[in-house]
Amino acid sequence: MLHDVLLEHVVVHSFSDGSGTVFFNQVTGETLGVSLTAQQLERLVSNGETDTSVQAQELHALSRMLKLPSQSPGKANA
Amino acid sequence: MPSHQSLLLPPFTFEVRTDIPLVVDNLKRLYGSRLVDMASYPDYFVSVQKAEGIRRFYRPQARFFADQQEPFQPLQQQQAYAMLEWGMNWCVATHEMQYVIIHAAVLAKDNKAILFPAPPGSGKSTLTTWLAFHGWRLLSDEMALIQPHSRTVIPFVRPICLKNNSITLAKQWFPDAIYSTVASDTHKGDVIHLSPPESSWQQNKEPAEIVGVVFPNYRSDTELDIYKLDKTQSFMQLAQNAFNYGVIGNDGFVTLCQLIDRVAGFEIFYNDLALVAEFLQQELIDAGR
Amino acid sequence: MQGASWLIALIKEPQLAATVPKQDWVLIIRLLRKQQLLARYSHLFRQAAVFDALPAYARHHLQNAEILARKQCNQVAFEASELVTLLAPLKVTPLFLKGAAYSLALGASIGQGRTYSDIDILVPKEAITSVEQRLALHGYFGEPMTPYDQHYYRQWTHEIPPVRHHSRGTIIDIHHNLVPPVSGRAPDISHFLTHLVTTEQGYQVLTLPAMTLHSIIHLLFNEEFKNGFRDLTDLHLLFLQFKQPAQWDALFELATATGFCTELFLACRYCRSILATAFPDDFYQRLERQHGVTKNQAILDFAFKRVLAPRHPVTDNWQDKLADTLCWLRGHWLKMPVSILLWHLIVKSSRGAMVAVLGKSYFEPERR
Repeated sequence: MLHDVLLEHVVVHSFSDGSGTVFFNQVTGETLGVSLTAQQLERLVSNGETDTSVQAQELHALSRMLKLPSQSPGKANA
Repeated sequence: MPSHQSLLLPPFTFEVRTDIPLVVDNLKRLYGSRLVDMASYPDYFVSVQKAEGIRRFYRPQARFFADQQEPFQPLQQQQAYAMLEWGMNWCVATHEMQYVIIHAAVLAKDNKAILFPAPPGSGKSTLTTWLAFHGWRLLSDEMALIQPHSRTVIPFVRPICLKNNSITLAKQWFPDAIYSTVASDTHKGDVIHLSPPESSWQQNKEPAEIVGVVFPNYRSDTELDIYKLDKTQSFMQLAQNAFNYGVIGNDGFVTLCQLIDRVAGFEIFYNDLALVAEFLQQELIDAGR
Repeated sequence: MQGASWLIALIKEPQLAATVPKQDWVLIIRLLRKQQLLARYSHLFRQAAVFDALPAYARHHLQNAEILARKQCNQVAFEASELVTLLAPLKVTPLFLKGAAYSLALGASIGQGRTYSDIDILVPKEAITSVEQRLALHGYFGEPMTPYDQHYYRQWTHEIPPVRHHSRGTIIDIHHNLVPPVSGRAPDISHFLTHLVTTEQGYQVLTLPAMTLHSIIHLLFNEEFKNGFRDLTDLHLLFLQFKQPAQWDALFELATATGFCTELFLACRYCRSILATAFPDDFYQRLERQHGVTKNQAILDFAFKRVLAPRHPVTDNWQDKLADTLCWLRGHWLKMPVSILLWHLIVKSSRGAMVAVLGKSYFEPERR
């Protein structure tokens, strides 16, 4: 589940139209939106896979909200 | 002749002191019966005062205080009234944490409200003025106060702040409306405040339900282009215009997420206000019938 | 009862809040806001289970302040862990002081609802430059200030000009001593450094007695008392935390060793007379014997009882203003050798004249 891999103080919401997911860090006030559904994010988190191409910098942004599996930047770009 | 009066601006009450005649005159004209002698439960104590020293005579300045705090640099005295309006916004934006506050205009028909969040320069206030004087009810020009965990928006009726070219336009369209004096050369350019129609003032305690979020962009070469935003885009744009959502934490986040999940979001590019009004009416107001 | 008397009565007995006439809340809220005490009182009212009985007007403003304070409390933990991580490569462990320390170490009592505008840390003097540079590398920059103020800070004080995080806006005050060395009263900092504890979350703070003495020095070895009442309530709440005789002994001994017995005596005297703070008899008698009332005591009492009261210009009289002046002079006198004092006053006062002539904006560096 997506909720299990959130960093501390981070809350998450996936929108009803399937357009994406937003994260909010309640301490820093930082907000992040990505055009990945909860299911896509779960796949990304569990085995590093995604059907859309996720760029290294997007992964970097996501790593401020989620515990991501460690992977080389090269693989993320591929 | 220092003046000391209260402004009844639900949901808040301001106690206002000033020794600047220009400010007194504008307050009387724009706020009418909302300006009273002394209210019992003022929420904020604000004042605009002439700056001391030689500045009294040479390019006279005005200073704004929220009780003992001075959040802004002094401004020219001819800008004192605009400064008071901004100062009152500052009080609400920095202290009020029990509403989710969005930098947005709010207009309603049949208590169905549309939020128009927008950065300066988007033509938001021109649109607000036009709609407010064409049968829409103004709930707010600058600040949408949203009740947490609901779609309910609380009115905070205040004068509309018009800038530069929109001043000329508004005066052409609505010559009989009540305008403040011009504050020239502010950080926003020339600025004028316009009192909304009496009907909006009279319903300033009546909440409305948000049915849509529209991000306006004035384009001189475009009659009306409409883009439906997906919910993630709408949310991110809305969050960018939120004043206090970073402070109030999860309640603010959840409120905005639920709001966006339930209402439609559009971005519009326009120069034809009547077309915009028609679109809003059909797509957002009549749609729920 | 008037606004100020209510503030004093309510900190002693928060449950009295239920008896405050509705109209009196307007001035009470105004005074509390001025003293930055809204959130602290709100917490006291909740503890005493009277919050829900208060009029909507009072609850509204108290609750706004609570939300802001809660956010600050969460954020300070985050900021503190950032600082610890940033300074670790320099082998510097920051010592958190004042407001931040109350939140980090005493979050359940004095930290609750305590608000502050910056985070104070103490680092070894020889590490100051490397700390400043490392923070600048990570987005903490100095605020614009006049060259005179820059010079004054660097030359004469116990801290460097505050730095501000470029995006979060957090302000960090970096100290190398608790008192300006120029005063000749700066304690050998090692006395304080034997009174350190680490919180459960791993932050370094002073022990309760040392933290209390620092709070006392900060309040009484000073010339400005803008938040005098707020700081006095800090002390009151800190004293309430003392549970063992050893803590009172430690406080007394640290004050003696660092030469701040007078300040300790005055703090206890005014906490007792203004807020009815309770002290163990033997501690207080020992303090009185050691220090004793001086021949100027009447003047000190006149001045301090006024500057430490919940003040606001709408309620001030001429005696209050005289008290401010007396304490301002005393504070400057304590902090600086005479020659520097005169120089500082002259510069400040000619600046004052310029401000009077040209308006306040004349000297203020342009802000973004």
